Amino acid sequence: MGFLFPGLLALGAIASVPIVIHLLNRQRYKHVRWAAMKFLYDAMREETRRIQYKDWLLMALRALACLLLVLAIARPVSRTLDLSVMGEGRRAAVIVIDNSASMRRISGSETLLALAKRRALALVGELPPQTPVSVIEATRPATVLLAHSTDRHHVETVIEEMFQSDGGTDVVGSLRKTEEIFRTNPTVSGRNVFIFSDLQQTVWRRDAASALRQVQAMEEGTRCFAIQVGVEGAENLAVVDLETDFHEVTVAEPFEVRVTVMNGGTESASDVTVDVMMGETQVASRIVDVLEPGGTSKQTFLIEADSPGEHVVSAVVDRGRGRLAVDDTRRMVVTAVEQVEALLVDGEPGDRFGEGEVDYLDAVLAPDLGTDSEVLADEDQIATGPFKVTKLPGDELGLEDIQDADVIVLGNVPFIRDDVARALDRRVRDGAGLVVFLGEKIQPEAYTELFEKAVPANGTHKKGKAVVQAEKELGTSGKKADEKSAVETLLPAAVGEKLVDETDVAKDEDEDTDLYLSPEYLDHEWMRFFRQKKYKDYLRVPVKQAWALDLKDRDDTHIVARYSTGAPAIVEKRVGEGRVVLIGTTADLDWNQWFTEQLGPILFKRIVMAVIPAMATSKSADVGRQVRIRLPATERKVGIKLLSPDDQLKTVQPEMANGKVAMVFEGQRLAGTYRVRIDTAPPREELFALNVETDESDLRALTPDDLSDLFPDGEIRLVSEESEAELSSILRGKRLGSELWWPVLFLALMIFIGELLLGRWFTKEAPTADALPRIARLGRRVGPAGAAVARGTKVEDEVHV
Amino acid sequence: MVKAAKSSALGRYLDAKILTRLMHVRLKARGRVYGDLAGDHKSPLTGFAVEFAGHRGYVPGDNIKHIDWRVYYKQGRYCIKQYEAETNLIAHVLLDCSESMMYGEGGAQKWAYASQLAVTLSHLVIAKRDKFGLGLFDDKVVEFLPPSQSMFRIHEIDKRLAGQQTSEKTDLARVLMDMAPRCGKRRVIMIVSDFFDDVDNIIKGLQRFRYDGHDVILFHILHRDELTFPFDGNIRFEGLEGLPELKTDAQQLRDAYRKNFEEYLESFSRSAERMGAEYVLMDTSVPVDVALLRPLTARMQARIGRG
Repeated sequence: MGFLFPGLLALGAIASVPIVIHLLNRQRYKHVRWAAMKFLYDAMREETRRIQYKDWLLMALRALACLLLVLAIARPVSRTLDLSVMGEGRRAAVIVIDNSASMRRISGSETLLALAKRRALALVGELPPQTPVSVIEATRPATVLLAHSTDRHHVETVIEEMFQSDGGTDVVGSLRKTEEIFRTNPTVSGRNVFIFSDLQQTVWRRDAASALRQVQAMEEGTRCFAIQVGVEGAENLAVVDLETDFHEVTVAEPFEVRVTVMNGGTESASDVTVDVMMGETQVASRIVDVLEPGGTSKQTFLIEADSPGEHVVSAVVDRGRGRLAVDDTRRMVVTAVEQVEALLVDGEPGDRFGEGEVDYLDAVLAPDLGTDSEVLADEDQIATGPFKVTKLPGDELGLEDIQDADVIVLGNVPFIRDDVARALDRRVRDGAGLVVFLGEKIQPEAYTELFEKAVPANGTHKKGKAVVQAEKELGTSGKKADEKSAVETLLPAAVGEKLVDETDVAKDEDEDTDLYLSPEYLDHEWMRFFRQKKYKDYLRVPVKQAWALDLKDRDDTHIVARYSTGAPAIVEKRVGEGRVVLIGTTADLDWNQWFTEQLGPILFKRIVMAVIPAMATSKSADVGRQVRIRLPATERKVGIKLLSPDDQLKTVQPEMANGKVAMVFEGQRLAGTYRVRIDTAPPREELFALNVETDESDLRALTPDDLSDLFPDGEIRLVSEESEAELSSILRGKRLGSELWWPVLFLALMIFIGELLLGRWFTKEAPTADALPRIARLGRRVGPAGAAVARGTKVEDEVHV
Repeated sequence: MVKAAKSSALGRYLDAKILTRLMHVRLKARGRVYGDLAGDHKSPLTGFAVEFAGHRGYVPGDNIKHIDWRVYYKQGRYCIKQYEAETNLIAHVLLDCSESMMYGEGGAQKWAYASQLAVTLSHLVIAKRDKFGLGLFDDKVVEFLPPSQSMFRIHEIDKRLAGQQTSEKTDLARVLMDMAPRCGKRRVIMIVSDFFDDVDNIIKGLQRFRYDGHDVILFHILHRDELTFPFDGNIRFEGLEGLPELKTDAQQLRDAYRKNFEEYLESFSRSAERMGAEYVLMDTSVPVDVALLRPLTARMQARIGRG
């Protein structure tokens, strides 16, 4: 037990006031000469003990109440009592430290993280002993490093050893973790959250709404303080984006990379050099003349890989010109292959261009554009691709053609052999893409059955031996997964009736119909591109005829696009490792005009890129995000070693989910290239790259006004860097431990009230008429004098002589 | 509240207003009384007056002029005709002049009130040609004025009372025993006191008076404070009549005091009435004339039988 203001205990002398008053009163008597002493003596004899008890009781209550009042003023504190039931209990402290990439910048002679740690340690030093302290690092994903520890030394060690991450700030995640900590320790009723951060404007504005909800979800009595470190110096040049359309490219074929650089400072930057590196070699460079404050510039480069294998492509902006070096470079990994095989199967071949069913598809995948780099550099144009296209008539399709194809396109192919269909099914399940265009030659029921024949007679897809074995060993074969695969068929939908009446089309062949792809339905990720206003009109290309796609009992099918009537136009589903896309209309101009407009090339190319997993899967991510790299089912038991950019080696086990084997990497805290060594025979190596989150590059900090706007009711209060004293004041005012003043004050008040009521009850005066009933009776017998006495009135008022 | 009595031409305690209000009432004995003069009050004796009382046989020595000749003519024997005797009333006021009667202020002081009562009664009695005597006592008889029907006696009483010194103690039982031989028989005895004594002792003393056939009236003089005990806070009660003082919080004793006092009044009044004495509670806050009106009127309306 202690006191916040022990000096005020001297006021305890107040407790003696009632005693003094009592003693003084005993000396101050009114003098009355009294005749009827006999009755007083009798009364006194009867009442003495009772009066004494009353006096002493009242005096003791008064003294006690005064004493409690003084105690309450002195603010008693107990570190052993738990008074959470009474609303005042232990106050816990949660220290959230932002160790994101932006905290790498230097302030004075130390990084912001070092500064934040120093201030956090100072705060911990001021906390009262036995305060439960938790430590959370606020980098994505937010992690609890220590929970409810009263071991001061341990807390300090955890803070000192906190690692500098290149991840993004996870404000919401850290508040969620804080709430979980409080929830798991309900005996703690008072809570303080101290967030040490550079309070980046972009990050906090982005997460403010969710953070506000999270803080409001915390129980009453929780106070959040944001302790700002490193407000000065926001100048920063950064590569904020590095993207390409293809993550699998062909050797010696140029491919396009787009680099976005940002000036995060307050002054414009001139002559900003942007370099593109392939591994350690600089392969392209450009100078941006002027970059306005807060502005970005997107630069497109054509580069090529000179050898097969994985290559790290990095974009570098002027090193050393910004306050934050880690975001000067951004990396991605591309896989160079000799060729990407595309097999176009033509169900209605022709001699001249346009007569064949897949001629336009061929032109899209392998355009004959020459070497005009200017055309390629235009982002709205279709850049060249890595495809080696093979065209085959439908009736010539053989097993060997399918084996090597990365993507197979069937254009109005009415029939394939059973063995070819089965091979096609296997190839897709092993990771190839299948795109099916329908057309005039299709017989709906027969076509649906054609692909159903491809699966075993009982309708289930037989898993490969290796997959079954792997599931058994890793214990991940779920029953659900089995059931799901049991109903898998190759086509994502059954072919139904024609959507547009043939005779009507014949009548008005030249007129536009009302059937086109709906710009209202753009939820699928492949169609998001068309959400941009300038591309929405691309969708309004008439479709004269199409087959209806029946999705009955196809739960795993996703609708990519709908017609203006609402009917599904393009559907897709995952089949094993690969994907199948079914398009209800033709790939030539017989039933639609797609390929004479921009829509056909853009849409088709996006679909082809998406159905080939290797091309669609990026092997780069932001620091803190999970990286998942697929492995062949045969490599389920291989040893995997991860070498991080700081040469730390870590062993990883393959994981299995839904029948697929993969390497899953989580918790990597540094930006850079990671090397994964897979112990196969011979050993092979894969790469992936982690980059700094874009928002980390904007170093502008929140001002107090900004924070007030974001948290208008003071849900999070700002403690600025300069106000060390303010933090100490907060700690003193909101110190941890059990505050007893409230219950003590309440008790004092209750005693005061009790004393008052008791005193009144002790001295209550009965009405005269009730007190002297016998005199009243006497009055009736003996005349007006007695009656008047009994009624307490004047006799003159009642008697008239 | 009765105003403080001031000296006037009539005297300190004689108040013309009071006398005017009581003009039509008189003090009448509840029984027959012995007087020494002819008067308006019935005597236990027979005599020769107006109201026929009965006949008795003639005995030698009787004056023959009292023989009822009509009876002789009818019955042939000599009978003497008798009449009710009427005599004057002799009243004594025994007034307590102990220190306890000094409680109160002005006209509400018990002593002043009792004095005014005594003087008023003396006027009522003497004005009807009856005799009035006064005895003052504390623990003994201090003063005794024998009965007189002289108007001068009223002024003498007033003067005596105005100059009377109080003494500390009272012993009512003893005083009553001492006073009894001086008061003759069958008279009206009015005792004016606060009767702060043992009830049994008082009753014993009164029995002596009843034995002598007196008509006893007890005027119990009490201050309003003594009835209600209105005090609050810490009070040092200094006992009159030399009783030890008492310091207490009066408020806390009020209930017990009232209870005890009430029991005392009840007990005393019942004992007095059982013994045949008339009990009259006099609150000093009530004017004397008002307080006297009912008991005197009741007496005037009472019928007196043979006894």
